[in-house]
Amino acid sequence: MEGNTHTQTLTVSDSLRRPEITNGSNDPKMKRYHTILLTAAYILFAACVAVSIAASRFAASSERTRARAEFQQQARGVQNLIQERLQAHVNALLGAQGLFAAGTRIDRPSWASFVRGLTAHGRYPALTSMAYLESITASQRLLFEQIVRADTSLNPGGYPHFAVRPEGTRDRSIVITYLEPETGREDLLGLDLAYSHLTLLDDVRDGGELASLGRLAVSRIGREYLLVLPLYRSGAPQDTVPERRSAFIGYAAETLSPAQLFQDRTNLPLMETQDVFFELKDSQGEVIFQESVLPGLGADASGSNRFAEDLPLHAGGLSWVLTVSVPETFALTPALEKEPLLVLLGGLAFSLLIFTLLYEAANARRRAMILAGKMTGELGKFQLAVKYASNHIIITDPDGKILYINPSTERITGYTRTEIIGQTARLWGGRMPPEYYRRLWRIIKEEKKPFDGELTNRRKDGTEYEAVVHISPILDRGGQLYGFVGIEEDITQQKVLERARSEFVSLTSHQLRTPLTAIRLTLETLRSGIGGSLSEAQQEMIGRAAEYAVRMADTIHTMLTVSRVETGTLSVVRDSVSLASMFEDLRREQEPVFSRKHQQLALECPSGLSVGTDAKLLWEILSNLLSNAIAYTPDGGSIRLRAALADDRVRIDVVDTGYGIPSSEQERIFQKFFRATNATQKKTSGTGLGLYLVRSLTTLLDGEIAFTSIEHQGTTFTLHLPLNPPPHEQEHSDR
Amino acid sequence: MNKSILIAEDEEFIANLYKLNLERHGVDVDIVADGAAAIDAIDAKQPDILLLDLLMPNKNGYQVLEHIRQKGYAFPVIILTNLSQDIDRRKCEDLGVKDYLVKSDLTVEELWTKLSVLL
Repeated sequence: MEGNTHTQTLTVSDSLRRPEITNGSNDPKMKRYHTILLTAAYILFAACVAVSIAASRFAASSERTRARAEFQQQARGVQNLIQERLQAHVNALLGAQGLFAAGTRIDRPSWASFVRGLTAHGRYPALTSMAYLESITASQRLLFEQIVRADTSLNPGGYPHFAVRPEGTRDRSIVITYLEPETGREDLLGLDLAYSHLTLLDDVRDGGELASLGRLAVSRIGREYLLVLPLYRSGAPQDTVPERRSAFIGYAAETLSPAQLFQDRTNLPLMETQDVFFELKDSQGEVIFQESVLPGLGADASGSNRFAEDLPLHAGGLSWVLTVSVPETFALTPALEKEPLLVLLGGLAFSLLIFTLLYEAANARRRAMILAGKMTGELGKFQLAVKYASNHIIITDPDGKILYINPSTERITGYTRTEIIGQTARLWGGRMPPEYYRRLWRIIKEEKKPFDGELTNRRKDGTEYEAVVHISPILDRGGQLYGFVGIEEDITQQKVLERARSEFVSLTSHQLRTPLTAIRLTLETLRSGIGGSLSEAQQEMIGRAAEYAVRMADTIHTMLTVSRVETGTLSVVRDSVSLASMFEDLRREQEPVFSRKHQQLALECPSGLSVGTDAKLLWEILSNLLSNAIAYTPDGGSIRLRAALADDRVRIDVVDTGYGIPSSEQERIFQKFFRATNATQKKTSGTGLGLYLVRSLTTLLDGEIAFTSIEHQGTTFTLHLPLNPPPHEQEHSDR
Repeated sequence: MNKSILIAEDEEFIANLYKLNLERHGVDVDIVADGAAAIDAIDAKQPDILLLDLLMPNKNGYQVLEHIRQKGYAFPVIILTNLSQDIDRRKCEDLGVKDYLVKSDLTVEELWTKLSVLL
């Protein structure tokens, strides 16, 4: 800082042009850098968003693939279990085939026993009944019916109503002859299946394989499915169709409820899935079973958001298709279900973070550059301000050793920069009493507060100058003292002017007062009779002249006091002032005037009430207010002067029953030289300075003055003064 | 023996009026017209009271007060001047005066009231 300041001479235009403030926002290089960073931020953001979406989709796809594999595995589990159950039923029929192959003839009790054996342990849950179907010709029919009706081997009453149904003559009939259990299915006995399925049954006979006859068209068991297996005589060859026709006895049939295949769900996979859907179709594509775990949910079994598998079931000659369908979300936990969304949101958040960081980095640098530019500009302005300040400005270390001076310091002190740097201000100071400097150092170094004061210094050429000084400590963030900034203003000329003005006032005062003194003394001497006795008329004239002299003295006094207030040469000397005593003195002073006007002056003051103020100035205030009250109250009126404590202040009222102040003029009453119109009519003399002085002095005493007035009724002036005001810095000073 | 009052006042007319009025109260009044004469008079004979003006030829009132302080004279001094600035008043108080009175605001009777207390 110092290197820039000591030799340059700048013209005004130079100083206005300098410093060239570099604004970071206008630097092309900076702009390019900023643009590149911002572009990078946008590109990276777009890339991150794209990657996030891809990752989310990949996560969703992975989950779907995994879920599909899981579904397929479980669906195959369903397939295996249902296949196993179906096979069991086929095996039951095969067992019946074996039964006939082993013996010559199977009677009704043997059949019943065989079937009960099968169903006893619940091994065939879907098995509802098994029947033996006998093939008869038309000629055998009558005898056949008679034999059955008379068969009491199982049922003691036989089957008296047994008949081949439906009625009518057919070449061959394939009749349900044995049925176990019979209960509830009695109407099946005698049913001729050749009536409706002859061709199919013949094919079964010829093929020797198990076949399905489809759903039985009997209302009571309408949902049951009929499987049939041909039975052949034991030992007969069955390799060819003629041999099988020759060995053919009848059929073993089983009624099967497809729903029962799914009834036991103990080991059935997918049952934990709420929306699982099963469907069975036979080889003709007819739906023979359909069920969803939750009713109504399986309607859209092959919907776009579902997995579905068509699985073949083969048992004996049966060829069914099992369809299993679940929603794609079947294997997802809530957390897994949200995984793609979470991946997407995480990715977007990360993208935004990266973008924000880059954007901030770009803008932070730009802002920093702009700020730096501004600061450089501000610093430049500050440098110029300090450099060309008319005041002397120095910066010192904590010990007062001078580190920096501005050019005015050299001009004011007369010392050169080289002579000053490294020295202390004692170089031109040290003219004040030691106590002054002790106080200064205590304030700025120990209390770390600014110091303001006036002092006298000495230039290099030995001449003295007066200065007002402001010294501020410089503290770092931790409050540690870094040094001081001192600013001095040379007020020598100002002081000379002040003194000249003061002396002028003093001399004017003196020159006005001296002849007045002579006049007053002369008049007083004449009135005392020293110069010889006077006639009454002479006494009267001299008395009036003396009053005019007093008025002139008062006017001079008022004008000088106003001058002192305005020039700041009036000092306040506070003391404890007894108000009762002052009131009595005021009454004594004013008595000649109010007595002549036959007025009553009442004093009201608590005994012992005193106020910490300047007695002379308070006297000045009250004397003015009281003389106004007397002057502007008609003869015979009354005036009250009263004092009272009001909180931590003293209240003094001057109350009169006088002419009052016109309301339209009340706000101007404290203005300098203003006199109310009714006052000028009653009393032509008067300067208009009295109330102006009252308010000025009240302010000087830290008090307040107010009034209430009603024209033709009277006025009350109220003065509030602090009971014990704190002392002022400038009090007692000569200024 | 009457009490003696010395008046140091360069305005002869005013000084004589004070003398005329005060002597009615039975005191001896001497008048000097400048500071140097006042010092001489005091050194020759210390008065019971000195009424001292401030603006006087030769030596001013402050110099007279300085002399009195140097000599250690103990008689009371009352400043009787038409300088009414606070600075003058305090300067005199610092130099040990008993009272500071402004001539133009004062009647002779008021002056005598103050003097009679001191005599």
